Amino acid sequence: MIYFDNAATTFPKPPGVARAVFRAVEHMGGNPGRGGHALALQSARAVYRVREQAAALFGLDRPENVIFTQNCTHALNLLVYGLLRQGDRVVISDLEHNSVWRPLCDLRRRGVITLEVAETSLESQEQILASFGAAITGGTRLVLCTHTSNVTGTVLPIARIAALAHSRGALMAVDAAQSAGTLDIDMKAMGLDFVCMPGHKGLYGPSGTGMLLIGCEQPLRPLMLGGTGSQSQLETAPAGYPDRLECGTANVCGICGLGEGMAFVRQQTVRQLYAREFSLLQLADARLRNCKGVQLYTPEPRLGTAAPVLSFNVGGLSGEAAAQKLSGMGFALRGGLHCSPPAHRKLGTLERGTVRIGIGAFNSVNEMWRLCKAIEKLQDWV
Amino acid sequence: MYRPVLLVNSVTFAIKGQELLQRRGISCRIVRNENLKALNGCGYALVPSCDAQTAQNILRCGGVQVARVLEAGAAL
Repeated sequence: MIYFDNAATTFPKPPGVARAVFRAVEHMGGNPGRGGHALALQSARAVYRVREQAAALFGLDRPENVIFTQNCTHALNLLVYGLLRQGDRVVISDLEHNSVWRPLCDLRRRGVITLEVAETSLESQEQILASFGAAITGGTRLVLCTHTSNVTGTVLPIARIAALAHSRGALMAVDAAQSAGTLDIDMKAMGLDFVCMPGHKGLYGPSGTGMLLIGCEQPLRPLMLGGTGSQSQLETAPAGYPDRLECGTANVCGICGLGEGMAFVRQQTVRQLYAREFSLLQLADARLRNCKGVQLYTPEPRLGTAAPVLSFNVGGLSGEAAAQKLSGMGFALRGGLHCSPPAHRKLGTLERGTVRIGIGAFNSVNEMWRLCKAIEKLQDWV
Repeated sequence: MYRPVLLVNSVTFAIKGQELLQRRGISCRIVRNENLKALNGCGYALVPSCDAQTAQNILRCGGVQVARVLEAGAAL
């Protein structure tokens, strides 16, 4: 099976990731933060190392403001339910994933917040900025938007949107599900207050890992309460991070694996990984754009404004049907709505979905050629 | 030798604090807080080889909040 579903989760992982998980299972027996014995401290140190790595990779001063979560969805829910309060106004884009869309719709349905959707352009960064400029008013509390669409690959100019948000008194949060490890993110330089990300996609960690990075002083309410190993006599969660937002035993093995994944990204460098994946994207785009019967939904990719994902359809097939046929030919791609109905509504593919190529660090030119050939063959069957 | 005991609210701050001090050439042990009342329950403490004020200054500059300082006996 040739794997092109890296936008859902990356595979394979760098070999060091499995070794790190194995080492943690074998040797990190203590529960971090739950005791003073050597094994507990050893685990706590291992977890702290990964906090430091994440802080360094994403331009965050305080390692304690790296909050480990189960995934990006968990991080986004921590942010949305932990920050927003009655009467808040929130601005998002029309490309959001359900991890942003559903929690915010829940709060809107319950009359807690009002929600404004900024229309994006697949072609013009200036138009995206203008659209956010019109949507962000003085009463906006939070701008929460995806860095890159998981359907179209469109990269949003988050640093410029953040500057706009701050100039109008709003906080800036980013869903980096598709960009963490793929595009440069420097929270301090870009002015980002919160960044949510999975550990198992572009950071090449194991599934069950994610992070919420907090770059501002705004306190968040915890989503869950329980044991933290600290200030146990309090009836409430401790005030300081990370304990405030991390209760229950940490996923030490997963976090150690994530540390190794991030080490891989730092060693390869985000820029090189992106440049390589972008060249494969260009290759696929050029070949499929000229293929009769294949429909693409995005303009020709440009460096820096397109993430390495490509959505398409073939003939009259639904996205799921095409993905199923490709699976039978030995290719792993994802069909359907990709948990992002707003983006599909925008593309006009809400009824049909699309098939998505998600490119990763371990895909080769040869694999991409074989995939394109298979897609062309698919057209013969339609 | 009497050493100060600096209570911190979490193991994360304990490790961060230990590293800040060690980077300044000050050896420091992490111990579990024995005085539950002082920290509203469980927690950790730093036992540095320097005086409390010096340690606190370094920790404060590095963003580590010390919840309370105890003067401990030779047992530590």
